[in-house]
Amino acid sequence: MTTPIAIGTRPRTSARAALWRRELLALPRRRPKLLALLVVAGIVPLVTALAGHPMAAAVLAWQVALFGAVVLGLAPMSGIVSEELSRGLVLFWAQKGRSVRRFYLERYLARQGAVLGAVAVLLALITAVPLVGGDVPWGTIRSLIVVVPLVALLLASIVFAMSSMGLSRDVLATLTYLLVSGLIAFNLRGRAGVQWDVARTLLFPFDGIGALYFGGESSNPWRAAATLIGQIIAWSAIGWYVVDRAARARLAQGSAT
Amino acid sequence: MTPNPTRLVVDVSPAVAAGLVVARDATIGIVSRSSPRTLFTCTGAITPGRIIALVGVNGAGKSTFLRTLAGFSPLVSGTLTVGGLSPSEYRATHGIGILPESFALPREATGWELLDLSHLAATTGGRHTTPPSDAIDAAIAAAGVDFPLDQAVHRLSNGMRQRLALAMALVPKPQLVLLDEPESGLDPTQRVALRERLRAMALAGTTLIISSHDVSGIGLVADEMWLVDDGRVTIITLHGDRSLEALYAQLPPAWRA
Repeated sequence: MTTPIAIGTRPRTSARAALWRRELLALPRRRPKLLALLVVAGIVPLVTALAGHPMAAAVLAWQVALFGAVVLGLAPMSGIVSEELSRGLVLFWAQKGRSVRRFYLERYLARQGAVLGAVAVLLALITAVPLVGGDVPWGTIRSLIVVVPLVALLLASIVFAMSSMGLSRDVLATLTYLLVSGLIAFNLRGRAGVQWDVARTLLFPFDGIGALYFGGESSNPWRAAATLIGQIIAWSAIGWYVVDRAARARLAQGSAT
Repeated sequence: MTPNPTRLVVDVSPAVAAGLVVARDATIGIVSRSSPRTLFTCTGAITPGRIIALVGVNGAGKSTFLRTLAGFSPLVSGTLTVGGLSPSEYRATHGIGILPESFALPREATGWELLDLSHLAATTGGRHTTPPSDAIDAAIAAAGVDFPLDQAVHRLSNGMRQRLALAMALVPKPQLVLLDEPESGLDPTQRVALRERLRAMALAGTTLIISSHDVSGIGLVADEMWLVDDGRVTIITLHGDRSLEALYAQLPPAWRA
């Protein structure tokens, strides 16, 4: 079905397909310079390896993976709810139906898909480094393939929760949470007891990430992966739960700020 | 001597019971623990297919009234129904078109995308396997969209964005549309065009409630004017002659200035 007048030709897609396409392309459309920087960063280890510096290429590959996991976790999800609350867009989404939860949940899932896609591209570039002579052990590559997507998805889910609370500085709030988590986790080291174990589950799982990557924490990577996946689910659920409350509060306030 | 056309409605006439929107001693205000405020109380009815100009000075409570009508803000006291339901129930089941006073559409989004998102938000739960042609075509026609919708928002003029937003508000096919200061930011030509579109929508059976502090603007297209002043609502039925002179002749003396 097309509408061939001055208004242009409508894409031959359903509304749902349009939503997924929009969210999947969120990063290149909203932050093209950041994406370009990531692509360049991903190519640098390859070029370094091709230039005959295998050790430097390995170090760069590891740094790019870490940088990519953080940036791809934080950037695409930023403002998914809070920006639309402050811009007054939520008024358009709340014109019919009882809740905007499902609408934002679908968009959140689509944008997590975008995060995974971008991570896959980055990992493909890093995986190519040993193929062109970089000194990156295949064990490290395997660890990165597990750790980088999980870290990116976890960070994205935290940003979603912060954004759903209506925090316009959702990335800053996430980084603050990471900092506070790190400080508390450092102080909790060596303390045994159920209450400390419960406290640790509420913090960002630095230990779990380390266990997955380095194979530490009593060599139990499954437990570490379960911790990360559990936190992804928990933060997604928090975001899903609070988005409706934030939207209602915003709708009761009126126009864009 | 011309009879005084103003009428302070204090009773519930038979017409009240037949309205799409019925207010009985409805007190509009801010319901909050910290700073509750009563803005005005009104009794009246709005029959389908009418254009109501809600006029008052800044801070009189016009936007709060629209938010209460949309079911976003609670009523302080009295009753306010839309189609026999509470405003939030009516919005959830039938949809209410809302054009906020200020909003900022995402710069990188195209018109088609925003219309698709509006459609999806209004019908979450559907399968959405085909392009949503009917609802969007009708909204585009009613809003007078005559510019390419496949270009990004940042390429559109203010007037185009206003029309696109109006189309987004009409996608759920609402019988009741609330417009908050729709003429702000529009040039005189666009204002006249908007009034013509609003009149056409009313002729098609849509009820429009338009907030404005400019009597001479939206008053020219309205069937009825609700003047919000000093905690009271004065309802004026506007008759045939749609000239500024005729409009001013019907206003209370204080409003003629």
